Amino acid sequence: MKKMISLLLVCVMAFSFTACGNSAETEEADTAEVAVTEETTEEAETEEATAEEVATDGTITVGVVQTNANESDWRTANTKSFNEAFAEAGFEIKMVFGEGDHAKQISQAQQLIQEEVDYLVVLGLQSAGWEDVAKAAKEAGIPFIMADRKLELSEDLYTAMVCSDFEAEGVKAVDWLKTQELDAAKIVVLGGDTGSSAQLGRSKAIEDGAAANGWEIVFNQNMKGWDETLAKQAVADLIASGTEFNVIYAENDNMARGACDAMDAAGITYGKDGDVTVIAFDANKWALEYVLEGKFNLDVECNPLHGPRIVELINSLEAGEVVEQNAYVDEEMFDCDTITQEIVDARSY
Amino acid sequence: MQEKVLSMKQINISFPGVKALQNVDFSLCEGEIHALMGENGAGKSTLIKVLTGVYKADSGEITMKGFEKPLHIKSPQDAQKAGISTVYQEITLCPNLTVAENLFIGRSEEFVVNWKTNNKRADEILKGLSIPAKATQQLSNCSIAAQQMVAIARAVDMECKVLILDEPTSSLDKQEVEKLFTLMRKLKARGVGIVFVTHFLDQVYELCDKITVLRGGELVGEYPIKDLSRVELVAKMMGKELDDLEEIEQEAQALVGKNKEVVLEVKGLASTSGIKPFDFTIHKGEVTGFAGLLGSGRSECVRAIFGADKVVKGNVRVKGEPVHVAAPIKAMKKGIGYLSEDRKGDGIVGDLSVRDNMILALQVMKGFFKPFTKTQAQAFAEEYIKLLGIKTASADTPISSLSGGNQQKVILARWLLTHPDYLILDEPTRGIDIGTKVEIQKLVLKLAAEGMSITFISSEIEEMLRTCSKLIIMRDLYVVGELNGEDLTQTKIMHTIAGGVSQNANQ
Amino acid sequence: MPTNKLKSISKHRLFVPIAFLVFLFFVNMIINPGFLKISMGSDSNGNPVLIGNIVNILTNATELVILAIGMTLVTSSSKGQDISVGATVAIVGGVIMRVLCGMETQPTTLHAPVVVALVLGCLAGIACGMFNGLLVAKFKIQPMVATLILFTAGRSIGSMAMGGLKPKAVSSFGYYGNFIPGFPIPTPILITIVVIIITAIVLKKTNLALYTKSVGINDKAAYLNGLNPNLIKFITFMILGLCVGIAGFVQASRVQTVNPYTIVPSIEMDVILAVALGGNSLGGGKFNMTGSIIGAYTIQTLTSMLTTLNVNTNAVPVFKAVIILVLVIIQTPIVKSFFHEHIQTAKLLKTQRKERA
Repeated sequence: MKKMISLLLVCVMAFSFTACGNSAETEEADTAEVAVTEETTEEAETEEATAEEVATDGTITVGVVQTNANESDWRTANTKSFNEAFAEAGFEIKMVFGEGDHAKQISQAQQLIQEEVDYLVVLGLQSAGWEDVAKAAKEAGIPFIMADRKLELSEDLYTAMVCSDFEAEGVKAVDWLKTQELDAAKIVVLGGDTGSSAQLGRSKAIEDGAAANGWEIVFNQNMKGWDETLAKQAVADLIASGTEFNVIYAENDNMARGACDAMDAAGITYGKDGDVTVIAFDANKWALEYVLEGKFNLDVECNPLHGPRIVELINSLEAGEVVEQNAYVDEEMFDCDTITQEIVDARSY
Repeated sequence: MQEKVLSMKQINISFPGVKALQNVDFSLCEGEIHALMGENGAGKSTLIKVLTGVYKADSGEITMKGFEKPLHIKSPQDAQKAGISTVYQEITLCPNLTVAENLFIGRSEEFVVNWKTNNKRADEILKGLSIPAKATQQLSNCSIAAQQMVAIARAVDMECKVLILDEPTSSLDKQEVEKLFTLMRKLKARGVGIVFVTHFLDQVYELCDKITVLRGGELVGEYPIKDLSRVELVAKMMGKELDDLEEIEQEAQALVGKNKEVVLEVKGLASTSGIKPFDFTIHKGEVTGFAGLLGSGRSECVRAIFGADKVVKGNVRVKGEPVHVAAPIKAMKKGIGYLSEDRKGDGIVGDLSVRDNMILALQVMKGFFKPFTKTQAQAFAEEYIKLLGIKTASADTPISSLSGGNQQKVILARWLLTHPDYLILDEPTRGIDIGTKVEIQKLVLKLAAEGMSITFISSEIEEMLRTCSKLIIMRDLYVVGELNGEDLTQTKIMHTIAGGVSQNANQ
Repeated sequence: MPTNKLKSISKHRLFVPIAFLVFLFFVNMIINPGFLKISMGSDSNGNPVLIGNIVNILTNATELVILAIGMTLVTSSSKGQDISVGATVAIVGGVIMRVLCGMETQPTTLHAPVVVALVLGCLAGIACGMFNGLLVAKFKIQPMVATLILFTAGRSIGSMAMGGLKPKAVSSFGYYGNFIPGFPIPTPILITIVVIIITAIVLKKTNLALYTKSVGINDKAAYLNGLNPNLIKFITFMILGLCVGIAGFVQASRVQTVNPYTIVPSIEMDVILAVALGGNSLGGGKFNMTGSIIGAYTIQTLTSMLTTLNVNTNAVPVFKAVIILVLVIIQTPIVKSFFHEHIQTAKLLKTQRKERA
């Protein structure tokens, strides 16, 4: 009996571990959708105290609580962007990685506050549970900047954010689809990890869009881990069972690629001149090449280059300017009809 | 006569299918060391567990000095409160805490502990009992004996009136045992009543005042030590009255000296099981036995020969050729087979079929890449099922669904299949019906007549007398005698087991 | 007489797993009349390919089947499960991608022959198996705890093996996870068949099964019969490692890229489930390889069914859990004996009624 119980416990542990692992991956993808706003900083209330402290210190130290060190191309570009932009601006960077562990992130953030960094940038693995950290930062006079994903915090607890609006991304794709004037849209929705903010936002947009425009969603399931393979297997199953569809709405580049593989294998044409319209998200460099080749019809960007944007924010705060607190990052989209080689070449990740 | 500190009356307890204790009485006086003796399964540990609240007796009464009413001991905590402490064979303290911490942990009522005074008090206690340890020393750094003593000191300091020592000496060496005895005598002088459970006869006679003997869950009797000789004690534990012992016809005698080729020769063999180095020789076609009480080391000797326990020293020669038996497979390849004492624990492979169980040893010897075909295996199985009269639905039946006797026959078949030169049978007749017992004994004699050398071990001396031509007698992990020819009588065996006669120990 | 035969069939160890698989097929056929249909199509390059739900199930179950074979042996010998298979597939995938792509993200050629990648991938898998086996056999750590180490670290190790890149190999590497141009049967199905045949041969021509079972049932007895239980446990982990190597190879080839953090998500649970669904005790000892393989196909059929049904995405796990719960409960001895009793009493009543008539 005891053995059974311990076995069960281990199972539960194992399950929760996997869960953690997956959520971490999810978040990378979510994070992936965050992009830097083109709009320059506007005014918000800055704590004067910080400005003073910084002035006495000389160099500015920025603590960054990153999610995982190396989970995706997007994340790698994201991390690199911080390091490069901060180095250029002459900031000292203290970056820590939660590695899929939400609780670890929180204690790391608190540690950074104790080390009296001048600014705290948080890319949360989860959006809830950051109140205490934000309060501690506020008490210590450290401006709290959310990046990547909007955290659930009341407005008095953070200074600014550099976040993506995932639903807005989805809406963009929906608006674009409207312009395509398909006779009867039959949409396959390949969702990301269930419950991640990117999945929730992007799925909501297409579901609402379908309802409003009389489109039919023939398939709507979430793929564990935003993975090519599972998306490919799902689409292959749909093809085999005779489900008809003419739009693939894949919530990231990888799943879109998986879907294309499945259609390739069944001899179904897709993309620019094909029967099936493919919509993807994130706009990695390779995905833009797919758009250029006409394999994807549309790719909605999710810009990971937060570094310059945050440098700008900090400089404004340093200068005593007021920054806008709730500005979402503007995101572009790339259409196979308008994309150029230059755009692809300009992409660094 | 000292005052009685504890008495247990008419204790009964039964477990599903077994009456573990039947109307057992036990009493203990102040300042008395009282040995509780019996073979395994006699009910010693059950009695102790009733006393310490681990088991609840079905009926019976426990009274202690200082309590007007009979005690109701429902848990070890209750027992401790009443003044009954137990020290087990395995140390149950925390090895990574200091001695003082171990002495006082879990006993303090106060919230704040003053370790300075505690350490001081601990040193006093240790000194008072001459325990070779310091209060601030980490327990794991003390010798096993010292740890044992600290456990006792903890019990004593909790003002126990009754101290139960369950096999405290089995992992100690001679000097350590002496130290422990000194401590026990000190406690005795203080008026503590000590219940001493051991299987070492010498220790009982060195230390104890009284002996209570249990057998099969029943009380045999309580005897002052001076009134009970060792031989009588052994007889009582085994359930034989000396007067009743009859000489049993010895078919085996005919075989002695018929053949002189040495099959196996062992010199100074010792294993991790703790047996003392022993010598042993067996000739072709000879049947020998190891006799002694349970725990005397008889199984450990044959396990060492087979390589079942890790051999630490000594050398083995099979047919004159030196062999290093690092694992059973080595012994098997040299033509040795071993039917183990614990049929369920390390004999049968429960869920496997009768057939697979039979061919296992031979198959392993044959090699990983050379499995028997199903037809071959089936032929072996059918042959031996018929030969040994194994009652089984088919060769495919899982062995676990067979009766004990039939399981034993399957295991026997397993080893016969390997055609060993030397077969060790450790308690092959335990727990099986009389008819099968006789069959097995007959088979042993038949095999020996065919030239197989056999070691036959049994708790029932008659069986060994009937089959063996030579008996190695063991006591307390030592070989204490070797009997053959006319010496092979029950009386003689018992005397040798008890000590006193033929003290020709090797070491 | 036929009733007796029926009874003996229903008592067979594989009855429930097979019956359930047949049941799932039946349900699928009701939902999707074309379920059993296999048609010859052609891919976008004009190569002939087989298309059909059954083909998909057989193709997609490959990793699950191969891993279930190894897991069955590990379960039998070590009385526990290896929960690191998903993470070690990531390691194998990482190694294979590194070998094939070097440090390029979009290589135009393969940096090494695919055989080399396969061999190195298998070696990486075996190395992981040896690590787990060492912890379990030598250090006597419970399998789940021992494999928790690679479970935790494996995906990061896989990422490190790839140098932190996410390369995509050229499409010719995709032959092993998809089709060989011109040959319509998906390669994974062929690989599965080969692996199953090799397994069958190994089980028939060696004593692996007997030794593994003996050690799993009673390792003390196994030792006294000349076996080395630790070595056998170690070997079963190595075999699972080899299975991981092959599974990782097929998986990497499917889309010619590997994301170590998301590859085969939670497959360890599906694999363990496959072993359990096959009627094997997760407590070790006796095992039935055919059962595990059927279990793996059952799970894949279930997954495929939930896709074709377009079950609400939030309900998918619950749906799966309920079906598995039912299946596992049916296989418990309590339920089994309950049914047998009922069948018997029903028969008795019937004969009594007949007699009266």
